[in-house]
Amino acid sequence: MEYFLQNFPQQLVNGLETGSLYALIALGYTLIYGILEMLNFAHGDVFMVGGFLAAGVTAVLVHGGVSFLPGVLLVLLMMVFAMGGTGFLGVAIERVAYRPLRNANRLAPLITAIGVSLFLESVVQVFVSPAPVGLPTNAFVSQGQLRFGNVETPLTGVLLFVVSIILMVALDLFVFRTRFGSAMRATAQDREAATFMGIDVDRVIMVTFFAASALAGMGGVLYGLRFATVNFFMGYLLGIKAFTAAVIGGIGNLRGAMLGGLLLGVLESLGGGFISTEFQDAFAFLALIVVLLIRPQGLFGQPLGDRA
Amino acid sequence: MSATPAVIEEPPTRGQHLWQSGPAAWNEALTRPVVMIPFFILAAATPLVLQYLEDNSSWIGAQFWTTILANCAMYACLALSLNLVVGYAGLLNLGFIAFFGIGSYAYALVASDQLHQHYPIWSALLVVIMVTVAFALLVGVPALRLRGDYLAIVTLGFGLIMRDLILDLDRPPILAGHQFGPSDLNLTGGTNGIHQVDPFKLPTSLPLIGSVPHFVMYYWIFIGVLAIFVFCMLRWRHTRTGRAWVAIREDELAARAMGVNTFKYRLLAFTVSAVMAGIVGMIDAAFIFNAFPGNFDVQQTVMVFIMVILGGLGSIPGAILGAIAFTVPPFLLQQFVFIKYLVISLVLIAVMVFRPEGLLGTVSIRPRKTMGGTVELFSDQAGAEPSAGTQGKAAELESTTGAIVPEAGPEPSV
Amino acid sequence: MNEPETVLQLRGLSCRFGGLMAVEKLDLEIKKGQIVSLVGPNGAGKTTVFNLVSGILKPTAGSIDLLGRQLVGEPSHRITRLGVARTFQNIRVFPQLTVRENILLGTHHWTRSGMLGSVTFWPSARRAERDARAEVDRAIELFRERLEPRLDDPAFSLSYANRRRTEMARALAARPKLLLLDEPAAGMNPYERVEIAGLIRSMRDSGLTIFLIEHHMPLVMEISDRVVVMDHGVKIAEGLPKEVHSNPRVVEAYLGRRAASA
Repeated sequence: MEYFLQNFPQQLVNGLETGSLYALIALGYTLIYGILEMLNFAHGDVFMVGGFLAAGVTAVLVHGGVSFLPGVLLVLLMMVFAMGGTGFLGVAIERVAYRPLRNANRLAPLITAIGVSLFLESVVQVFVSPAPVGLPTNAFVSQGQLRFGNVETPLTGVLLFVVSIILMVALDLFVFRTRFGSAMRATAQDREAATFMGIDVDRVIMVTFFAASALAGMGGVLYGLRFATVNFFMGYLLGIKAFTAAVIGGIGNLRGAMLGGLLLGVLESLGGGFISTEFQDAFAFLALIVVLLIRPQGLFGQPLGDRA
Repeated sequence: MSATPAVIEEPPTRGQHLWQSGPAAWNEALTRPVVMIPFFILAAATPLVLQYLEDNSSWIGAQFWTTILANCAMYACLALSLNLVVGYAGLLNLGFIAFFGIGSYAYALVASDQLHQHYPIWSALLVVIMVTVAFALLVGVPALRLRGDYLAIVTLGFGLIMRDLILDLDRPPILAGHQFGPSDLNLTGGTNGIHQVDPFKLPTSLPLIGSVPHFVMYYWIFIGVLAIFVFCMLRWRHTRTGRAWVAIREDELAARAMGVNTFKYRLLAFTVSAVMAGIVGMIDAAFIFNAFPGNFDVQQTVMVFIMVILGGLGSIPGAILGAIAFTVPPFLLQQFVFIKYLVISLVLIAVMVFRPEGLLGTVSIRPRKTMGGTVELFSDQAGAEPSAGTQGKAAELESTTGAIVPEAGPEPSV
Repeated sequence: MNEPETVLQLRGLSCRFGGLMAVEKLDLEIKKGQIVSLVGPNGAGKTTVFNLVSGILKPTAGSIDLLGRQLVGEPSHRITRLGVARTFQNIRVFPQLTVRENILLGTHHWTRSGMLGSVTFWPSARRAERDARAEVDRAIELFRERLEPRLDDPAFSLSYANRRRTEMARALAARPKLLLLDEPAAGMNPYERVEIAGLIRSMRDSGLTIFLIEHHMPLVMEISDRVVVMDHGVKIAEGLPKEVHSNPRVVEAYLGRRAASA
């Protein structure tokens, strides 16, 4: 018990950090699901691409001798480049692989998504590197720790948390306080009716994919900064966890995704810290099964239709 | 009363009629005994023919080719199993390959030095079946009550967890500080897998044929299992069970209205498909004397998927063709093996975008406004319940089915 | 003089969706061998009643009794087994199954043939298959001319009318005690409507009890033993076709208050 109390705050902080990452990616999942009723399996791999774009930027700039740039500027460049790159990647994927099947039955795009996921992983594996790639973060980012009490966390972790929260708030404002945001919500509720209201549904979907993918890309940057390494397979597991988080919060519900992500991160961290590190991933899966069994609509979702 | 006769069209020849009838008729024609039996006889005779060629010419390739064909037959069996759960019943099992892996490890555990058990083939088979059924029920019972896309993600997660489990169980698990099992407990061999798995006790020579090398024997076993799978699937498709599966896939609501217990039949399809994959895994472990964690890789699931999709969902000959298409070329183009999954994923995307029915598919995945060209006369006619609540409920009921079904246009009311 | 038994009894049946009362306190009784029509303007709740009886929806209040057996809470597949078969307003045949296979589906709940049996050619399985196929032959009796040549055609290739016939044959093959027909004459031309009327009568003559939703008034008047009128979820009239036809409340529901007082 002592052990628990002593280590709880640390695990909590760790959990909030990873949780904010899950939340960022879960947001993308939930955005796309809300608009298209489709689970984009390739979303986790978009996160991975973001991480590699960030790694690419640092490789080019740091080794190209542009290390005189202040670290802040470098990080900003990484973020812009990665977010933009993944944003466009997401739009391209939607246009090429998902749009042709938009009116087909629900399960067809899922099969395509699995193909896109494998494709992204293979491209990176073959043309970039099958082995993990390191980021020279100590060249431009402070490696210091933030300490309070007996809890400590690297500054990059704090950055992860803070930036994620900022982005989530920004997205929330965008979706709930702007005109375009209400167009998005309208399309999510009833695509056909939205077209009657003069909403350009194709454009809304495009922007949604851009936003969702850019968030994932940012997640990749933050991950790269925090852990100083990326590998072609990292999106797969993270994608499943992020999806779990989205389901926990209620798929299609933005605030649910944010909360679900943080909750899952904390749960996982506590489970990993106190029960077993090896089977940490299983906790996410268990959480998914439990939620789907007891409350499939998640924390904030609408109760699903009656199945008599 | 005009007496001029209209131009009489020649009735189409039998061949033309067959071509025009589309995939359903092609499947029917290709799965007739008159086609299937020679096919399997030919398949069984092939290694002997190859051996004969090798003995009587300067060509050396019998073992190479027979091994490729054995692999091909194995993937054909897997493709058929996947076809049962996805093509017939319309359930997206994205963790499919995990059951292949479970079968291989279950066998390896009872037929190697890992646990010092050496079961003979039939009791090992029983163990494999029981273990596979157990896992299938574990995943299926909770997941099959859910919508199709949720099932997809749960099975995907299951596959991942199984892989992690297999990799981590080379030491006793430590939960909350407690160690479960002796320190030298090594169940799965971790990243190395389980080695020196017993092969089946089979004769090494047969009358009239002479000595039968290991790889030929296993080729025949795979072909035999393939024949059994084809037979079973044909029988099921043409009887009550298969009809129920297709009905569930096509229109779950109507299926239930006809008295089909959809949960039971989904579970049946899911479990039987898993058992089939598990049996194939068992044979594979005996064939290559090993069980590897790579058996659980999600890329393998995608590969079997592309075989089924390209061949055509719901088609037995299609699945076999798909298996051939994706095992033979990679073997022949060894120098390109590093881009294997790149090409496979591209082909999958292309097929889904341009021709989701594949070659011989009978499942309508393509977006459809109406059924088969006839206009839906009353999509906006009387009888529509106007309130959004009812509409939403109806739509929700529609989407809870998750069946693979053509969109038949707007539903005025359920 | 034997009073025919009650096949379907609805008591206080209600179904609400959020704020909307789709069906409100409906009482209804259908006796064996009757043809009862449920009519009413759009949105009256008629198909909802069918969905409640066939188990697709759960009522929020009230009871549904089939030959003395409670149906509320039973899943729809079990309700079919208890003797209810239905057709759908927007025809739900199984597109990729042939006409024969569609009708065979109707026999699903009363034949017994499992996976093992079909693979081993077990006698009981073979018998079940034979019985089912014989039933197909009986089910298309009323539609023989149209459906027999198309038995092996996939359902998606059929014309609208033939799809409706297939759906009806499929419902008949389920050997129901109560048949729910949801707008059987929708989209039909006058000739076909005459045919449908004859079909429904023949079905009743062979022992079925029929509950039908229909919009085409002349057809309703012609074949119904009783007519029930609903509007906004509530039963507003019930009785012989002639009685209901001239009921001012019914006229008002369809055409508005001015027409009723005209």
